[in-house]
Amino acid sequence: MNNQEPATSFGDFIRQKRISLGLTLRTFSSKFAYDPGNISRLERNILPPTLDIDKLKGLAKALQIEEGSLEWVTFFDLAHTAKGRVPEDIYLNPEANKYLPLLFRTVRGKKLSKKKLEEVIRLINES
Amino acid sequence: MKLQLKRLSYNDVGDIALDFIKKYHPNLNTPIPIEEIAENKLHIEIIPVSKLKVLYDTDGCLDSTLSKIFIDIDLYMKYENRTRFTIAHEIGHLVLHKTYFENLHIHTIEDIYNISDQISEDDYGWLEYQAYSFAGQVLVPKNILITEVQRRLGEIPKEKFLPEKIFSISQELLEIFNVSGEVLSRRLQKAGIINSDGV
Repeated sequence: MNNQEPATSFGDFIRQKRISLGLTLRTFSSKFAYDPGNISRLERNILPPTLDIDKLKGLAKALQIEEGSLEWVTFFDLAHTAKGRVPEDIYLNPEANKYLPLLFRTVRGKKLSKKKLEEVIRLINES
Repeated sequence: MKLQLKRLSYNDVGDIALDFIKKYHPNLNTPIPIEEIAENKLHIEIIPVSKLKVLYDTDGCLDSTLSKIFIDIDLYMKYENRTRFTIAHEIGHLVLHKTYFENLHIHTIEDIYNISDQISEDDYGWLEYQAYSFAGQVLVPKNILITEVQRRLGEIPKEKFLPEKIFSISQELLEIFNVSGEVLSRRLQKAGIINSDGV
């Protein structure tokens, strides 16, 4: 994590740490039996970290953060700050579609109806 | 709607794919670590999405800011080689079609719907063909494939190998490149190693 800007959010911190270990989202989630959707949401700061201290410690250990180290303190400080915080953009506009997919056809080359497209956009924005 | 898309041949795309590998994975070790390249080098976020495939017949797609890849969560966690291909395919769009997508100025659902309605089948076909070609050639680079085959079977004959000859080493090749049999087969044909009647 030495060549990057210091993380200022819990999500940025754990993403940088995971990547610095050479683990993809998939391999990290597989290795420690985490839901990749939840890890992704944590990393994007749209899911606040758990309040359960043992689970937080488990995540810190999975990220090879040494207990008592400066990283350990930062991890818990950032987790504490992030707990219960509602992401600002969701708070300001719960209907906002932050992500728009470049999806013009399905795998089988079919166009999606406007209704289906709206559903996909809702789905990915809730992911 | 015309995208003014360059009609890049398979080999043109191959040259771009090779430059891409040399830039982002210069040691050329296999399997090409496409997920690591996406996350660590290109700073793309991979976002798993539930039921994208089953409900909307979609393996994955880029987002309009070209900084995220949405991918079906089942595919992502259960089928590594398909995941790798999907990510390589979307990176192909990013590398080959960035300017075209930026020029589409997509900001709303209506923009996406209108483009999907107006884009010609010909343009859409080229977009996909080029991204597929890129993915195959990034994950199975021609020179490495030829070297690995020659190491096991000797020089490639002028008339190319019969597919049966390759069968004995196909499992090894699948493991070396971590791709599906379909992708490997196409690469063996396109690299001139087996004749195109092969499966």
